[in-house]
Amino acid sequence: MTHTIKFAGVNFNRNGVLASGILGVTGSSMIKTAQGGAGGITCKSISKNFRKGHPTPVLQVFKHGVINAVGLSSTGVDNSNNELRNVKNNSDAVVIASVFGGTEIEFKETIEELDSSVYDIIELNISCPNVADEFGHAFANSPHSASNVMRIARSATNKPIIVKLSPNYPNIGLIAKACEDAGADGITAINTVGPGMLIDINTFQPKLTNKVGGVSGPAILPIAIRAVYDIYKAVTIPIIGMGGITEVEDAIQMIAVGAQLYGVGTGILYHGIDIFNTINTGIDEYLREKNLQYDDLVGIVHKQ
Amino acid sequence: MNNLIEKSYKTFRVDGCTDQKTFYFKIGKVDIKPGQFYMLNYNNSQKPFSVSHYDGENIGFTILKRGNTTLHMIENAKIGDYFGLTGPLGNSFHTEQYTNFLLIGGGVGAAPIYFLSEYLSKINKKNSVLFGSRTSSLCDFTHNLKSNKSATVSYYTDDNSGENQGFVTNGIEEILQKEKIDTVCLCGPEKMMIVASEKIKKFTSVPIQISMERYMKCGIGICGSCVLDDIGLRVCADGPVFDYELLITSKEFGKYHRNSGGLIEKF
Repeated sequence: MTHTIKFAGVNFNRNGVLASGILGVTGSSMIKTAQGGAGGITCKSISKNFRKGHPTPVLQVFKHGVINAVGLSSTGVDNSNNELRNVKNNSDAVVIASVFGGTEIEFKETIEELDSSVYDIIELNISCPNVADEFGHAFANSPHSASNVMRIARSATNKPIIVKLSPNYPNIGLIAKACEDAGADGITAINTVGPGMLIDINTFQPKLTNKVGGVSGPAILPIAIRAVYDIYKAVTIPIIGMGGITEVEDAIQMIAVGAQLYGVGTGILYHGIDIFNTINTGIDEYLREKNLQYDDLVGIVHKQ
Repeated sequence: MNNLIEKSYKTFRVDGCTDQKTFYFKIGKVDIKPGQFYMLNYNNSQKPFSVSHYDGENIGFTILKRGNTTLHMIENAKIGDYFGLTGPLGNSFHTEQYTNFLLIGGGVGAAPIYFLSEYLSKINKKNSVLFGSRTSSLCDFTHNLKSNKSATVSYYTDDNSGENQGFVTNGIEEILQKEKIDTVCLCGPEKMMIVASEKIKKFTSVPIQISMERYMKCGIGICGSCVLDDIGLRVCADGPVFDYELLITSKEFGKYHRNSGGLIEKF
């Protein structure tokens, strides 16, 4: 990628983004991933106070992906400030601080307690499917509650705020529009699908301690492509498209349906952190072959 | 990718004492190398464990009572119970280019060292082994190594219940003077591994291979719980075996690790 991409007013040097929840606990880990070619790094969702998360096993692999229920473990705001400062000081990647709260006010307080010099963009994680026992339905499952969180978060920072949406609500475009109307600067889609379940065939027990977990990986690519297609039609704010991307062709499809940037999470399981470099190079080659500019490709499906 | 998918196996043999047990499973033919580990899941309690035995058919894991998961396994798991196994995971000790090994296992770090010694003796490579533990019964599972003609094995205990009293590092000098060692493989408490490595460096510049332990959630390289500061390497997927020269560039080696919530805990 020789040119920068402007997303929500922030310049990205490369067009891949590390998804929240993957290799995002420590600064060192995020810096290393940026070296694999990610232009934006999203940390694991930060909650105001320390959260232990669910007991292991929290992740299980199946033939076409992964289910996980890490349960939003977080070191809390103070420690996260230190880890993100390390990334900000030692990497050219855009730092996206994912935040999580059990209530609207907790979202606001968490953002306020974050040092605004350690991140470029706030991402509201209102779509984790793995903490329903604790918090009930995710905010992303209703236009009203999604827009409430967004509106309250807006007052906490002047930096751009993007909202991460769930594919588990039937009309994702409606939620995206509600977020845009409440002041969102962008949308990240999609979070994990489901939740899903896997069973051990000898013990007949669920393979996760939490019994159920969000589904990610290649299995969910078509759902993610469709969701981003719907969101692009519903809003004018830019989209980070993710969900099941493991190959160049997946990322190209995501951009073609309207993603300004593509994201990778579980894809690292299949191709390591260099997946970003591989996909970026592949996109460049594709654009040259097709004689297209990057901006022409974004949302091209809708112009046919 | 099949190694990443959990499969459950019945344990058919359990050895050991009240503090430490070895569980065996019939898994058939799998490509497993010394230093690799599995995620073991017993009744929804899961942790990573190094392979301590594999004979081409049966695999063994030696588990020391340390926290809730290991306590649960040691006190409750019995012959016939199922464990979920995910693996083999991670890299392994380099063995091909070397001919004469010094192996050091401290505490339950003896587990992968035991498998490594078994493996080396099978391919007739000379290995001198030093085991250190707080009491001799914790090393009982390794006693049959002495019958291999390629292996020389010595034991050190804190409570003088075994061959020699004192630190496992006491035995290093004699072996390095006697043998033409061309690599050293270590697994155990980090402070011990640092003392051992510094001692070895005074005698020789042979490669020192260190098997590391960190809190792991996924074991397959994506959660980020076991990443080393500041080198950014994952113990589960880039390790667990690292070269000493690389490890000393990590600021946490021998000093701290992170707990399940990602918080720093000093050693």
